[in-house]
Amino acid sequence: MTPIRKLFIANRAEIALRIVRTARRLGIATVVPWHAADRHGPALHEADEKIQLFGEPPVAAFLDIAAIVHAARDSGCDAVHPGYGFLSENAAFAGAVAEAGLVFVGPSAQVIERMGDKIRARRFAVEQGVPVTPAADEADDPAGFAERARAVGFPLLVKGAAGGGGKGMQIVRVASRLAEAIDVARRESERYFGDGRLFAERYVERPRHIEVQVFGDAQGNVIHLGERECSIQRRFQKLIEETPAPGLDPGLRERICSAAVTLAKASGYVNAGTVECIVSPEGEFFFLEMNTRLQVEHPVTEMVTGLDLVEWQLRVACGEPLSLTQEQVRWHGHAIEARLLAEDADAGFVPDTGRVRLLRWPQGPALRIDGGVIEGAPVTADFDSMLAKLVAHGATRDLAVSRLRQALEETVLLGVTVNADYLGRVLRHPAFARGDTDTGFLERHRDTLLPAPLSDEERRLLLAVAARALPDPAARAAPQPYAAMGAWRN
Amino acid sequence: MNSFHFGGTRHRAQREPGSDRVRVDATLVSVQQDGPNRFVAPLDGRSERLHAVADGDQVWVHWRGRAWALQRIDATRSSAAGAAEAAGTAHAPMPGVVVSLLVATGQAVAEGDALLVIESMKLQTTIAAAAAGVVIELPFAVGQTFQRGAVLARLEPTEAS
Amino acid sequence: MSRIVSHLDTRSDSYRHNHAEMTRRVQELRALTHKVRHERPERDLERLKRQNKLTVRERLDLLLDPGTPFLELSTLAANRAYGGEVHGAGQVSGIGIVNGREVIVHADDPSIKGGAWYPLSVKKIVRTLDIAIENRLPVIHLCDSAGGFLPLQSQLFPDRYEAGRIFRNQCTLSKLGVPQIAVVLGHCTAGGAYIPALADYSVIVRGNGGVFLGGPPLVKAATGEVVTAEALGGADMHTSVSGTCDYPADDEPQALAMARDILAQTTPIEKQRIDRVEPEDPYYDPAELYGIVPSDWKTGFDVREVIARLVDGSRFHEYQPQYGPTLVCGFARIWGRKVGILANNGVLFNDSSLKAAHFMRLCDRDGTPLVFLQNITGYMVGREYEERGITKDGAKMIMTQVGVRVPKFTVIVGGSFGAGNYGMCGRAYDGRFLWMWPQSQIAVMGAEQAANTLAEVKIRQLERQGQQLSDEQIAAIRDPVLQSFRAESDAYHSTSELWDDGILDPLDTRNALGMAIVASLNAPFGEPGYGVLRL
Repeated sequence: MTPIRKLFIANRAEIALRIVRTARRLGIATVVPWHAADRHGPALHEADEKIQLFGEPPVAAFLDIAAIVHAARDSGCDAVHPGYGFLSENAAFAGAVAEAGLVFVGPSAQVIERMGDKIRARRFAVEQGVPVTPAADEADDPAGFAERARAVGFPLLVKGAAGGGGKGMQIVRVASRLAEAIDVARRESERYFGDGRLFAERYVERPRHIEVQVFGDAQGNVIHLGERECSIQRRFQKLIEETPAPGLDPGLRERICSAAVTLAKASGYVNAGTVECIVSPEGEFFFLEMNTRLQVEHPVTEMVTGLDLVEWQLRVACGEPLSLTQEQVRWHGHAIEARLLAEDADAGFVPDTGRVRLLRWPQGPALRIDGGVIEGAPVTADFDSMLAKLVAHGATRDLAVSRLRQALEETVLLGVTVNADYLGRVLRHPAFARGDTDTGFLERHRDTLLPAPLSDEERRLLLAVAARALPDPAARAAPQPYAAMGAWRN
Repeated sequence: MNSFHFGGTRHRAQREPGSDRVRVDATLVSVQQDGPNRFVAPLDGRSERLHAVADGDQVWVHWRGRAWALQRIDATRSSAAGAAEAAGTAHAPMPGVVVSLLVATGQAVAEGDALLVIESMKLQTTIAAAAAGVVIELPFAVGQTFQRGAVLARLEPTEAS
Repeated sequence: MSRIVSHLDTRSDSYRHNHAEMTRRVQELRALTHKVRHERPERDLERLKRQNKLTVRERLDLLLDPGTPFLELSTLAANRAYGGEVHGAGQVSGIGIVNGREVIVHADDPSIKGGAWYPLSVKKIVRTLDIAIENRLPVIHLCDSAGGFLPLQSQLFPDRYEAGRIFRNQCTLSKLGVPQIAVVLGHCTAGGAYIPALADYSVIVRGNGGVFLGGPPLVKAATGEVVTAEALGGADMHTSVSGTCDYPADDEPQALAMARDILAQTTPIEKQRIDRVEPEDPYYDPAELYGIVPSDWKTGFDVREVIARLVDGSRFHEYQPQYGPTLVCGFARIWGRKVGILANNGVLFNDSSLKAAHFMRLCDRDGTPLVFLQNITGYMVGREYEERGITKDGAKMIMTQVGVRVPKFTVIVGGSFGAGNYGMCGRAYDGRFLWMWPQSQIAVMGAEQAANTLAEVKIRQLERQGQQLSDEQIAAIRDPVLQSFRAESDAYHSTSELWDDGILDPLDTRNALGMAIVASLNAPFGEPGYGVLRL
């Protein structure tokens, strides 16, 4: 057992803050990096120390393995938590941390490499008897890839083997578009992941995106903490996630979760991970990929299980065994999360920048807000557009949804366009209330997710408030008695 | 006199001196201030709560989960858009980063020619020339980030022959 | 100051009759006012739209602070002239608020004969600038005129108080330090070009604004040069080459916003102080004014009932209540400001004349503005009164009235005849403002009296020649005189000729006086000084 006394959190915004808070509760000191373009992160005010990183563009600073390892070691940390995104699934980083004599809070470099690579992970899944979608990869015969891809059948998804997070993916519905899709996917993969290897798999129509939270310890125990439904997506990015998956057949749930545990166990998985699957309308599930890190949407699992997954991560990283067996895990009620992004959802999800001029988070029972900005912080294109996660719990799905809807309505974040109202409309949508969800939901219901137009009276109300909040600096009040006479005319 | 741009049209909105009433175009609307950045106003017999904050020459208003940015108009500035300006500059439709530059300064381009590729939030977009001309400036290099509205390319429009 | 005790019986026949009559007259006034302000030939409005011009009312809307009052002056000028087609004499003039400051606006109305200047238009502009000078009110000129109406040039050009006086007044305003801003929204040709040139600041609209001593047709005729209006005197030329105008604007809303901004750059002066408290509405209902004043000026009424419905709290401190009862004098407040009121309650006698003179001196000494409510047929005539010196006493009243330094305001609420007009501060006596009520009359004497007098003269003349006149013949002499006198002595004729600053609905009188009194305080009172009183 190697206790962690000081933790370096190689991340920013809401996840850095969330990890700092758990570390503090456990009596662990924290160090958080910052970049000149990111001076206002909430974690910076709560961590024990902060270290400046350098890089242009600013994201490069958070991808600088050498600098981060250096900073962690120099500040006397015993461990590094990578958060999500950035270097969290970078095997080289995990390896560099270990080589520097620090504990990496996550699986080993080898496991990251094996399970993080889509193609390798798929092969491994097949070996373990976990169902996968028909697919083709370039392997030793890149020239025959297009042919093999065509053989998989359409519709087809062409994507980067080393990628994730929705980048470098192209849906192809007819054979004639295949060549072009391969070109674009290769170009994007090279650009984002530095790796142009491609992978093509059958695209399931109207798939549900269902993932399983798994946890393994160094003693070889692996359990699951339930599934999450993440089908509400735009441009392959999740916007709303919930647990349990609405209307999921219990038998299917059991099969998916157990397949996830099988996979994790067989790969020697240690620490937190997520096995992502797609579920077809016919009730078949297929392994998609494994994320060898904590997920953005982990709070919904925490709220229904009552557990602190970051605490579990730190304990497992110390060498402790999992504190619960599978049978001991309990789930209560329903939790749902919405991602608050700085974008204009009604104008094609165009990102927006600005500065947070006014910030009022909602309050309520069973509400959890993981905020990544403070009032006065600039919102730029340098970093991810996610500003916060709003999570609500309820004994029933309806209650959780209703609470989250209210929370979104009461969230006041002014100074940059956010998608709060759009998310509220999704939650209010009758199809969503029924629980029919699949990854095409937002596109399919686009016309019924439009904002209501303002009446003239409502428009005047907004203008009146605007006039009071921003008075004309040049205006001088009319003196008496003119002011008292108002708009009198003879 | 206070004028705002909202919903594609101009409106006048001026508080009556020393009162809680605001004259919006021809109508009087009652709005009380309830605390810093907080306002209360009657609508349809209900009491509505709103938040608002000034942001330079803009006001952001939040009401029932929705937010709007209203632009204060400086009435002493011309309302006519600089049409000549528009033809010679390419503006960024959203914030992002330059992926690749497809032309060089001094190069002649035709209307519709691709000038550069930008990427924002996993979306790649090609920026094209609005009119024929000669490229005089490319303010951002590959890998540099920019805000929405930034000038991505300046052209000297050439007269159509 | 105690409250006037009203003895008005609102259920009496006379009240009801008066009320109905005045209501009818006010409706007539409002209908004509509406027509003059808003009815325009469709083709003139189309032309404005084509030229991207706003109407004069729309321009005022953008110029003035929203939610503030506008006291329009001489709205019905020229209503009896030029075939009744030149509404308002093609001008809008009035006192309003721009960025919290009082201004007086002189605006050409391009929808009336292209904004051309008729003789009465010139008179109205001169009057507007005279008001500006006397009250030190900043002037905003909204220029958009086709120039002088040539067929009537002999009545608008050569004389002392005609067109030249406009520009002379502008120079005087400048000397006095009163700011002027000209907004050139159309053409300023010939003399009119001097308006922006003599104003402290000028804004000019591209495409529409033009300033030139001679327009393109005249230039071509004079020298053969062919040039467009824009090139000859348009915005870009004058704001960048000649420096005749200061600020170019792309459109009228921008130009008017700039004018507001320019005014905000000038420094307001400190106003003359007078005794002032919080305003209070009259205790009695002003609507009752309609029932007090009879339509026929020969019928008397107690003017205190009128005062009670004009002043704050209906409170009035009457001076010498027992002496000279045909002239009511006293102190009151209007919109909080203390004023001295002189109001006729019959003909003027020796005692009323002396009382008036004394009271005016008291007010003058204490810096209390004077308000005259005129309803006067004249001074008393007859041997007894002449022996008592009625002419001398009337002279003292006039001499005193001319000598006061405090501002004077006159409202003709009934008749204004002969010498009574003089003592009670008629038009010639430099009151700051003078208004008529809809049923008012003004003439050297009443129409019947005049007709009778002239008929008498004629009858005597023919009798001396040995002729006897029949009743019809007498009527034939008398009636035309009666007609023409009547036509020329009513309020509409007076306001048409700009003998007054407008006809007021009695209900508007309080606000008009309130605005006028406060606006007048932009000018300092100056030093008192009287001529010699024939004692």
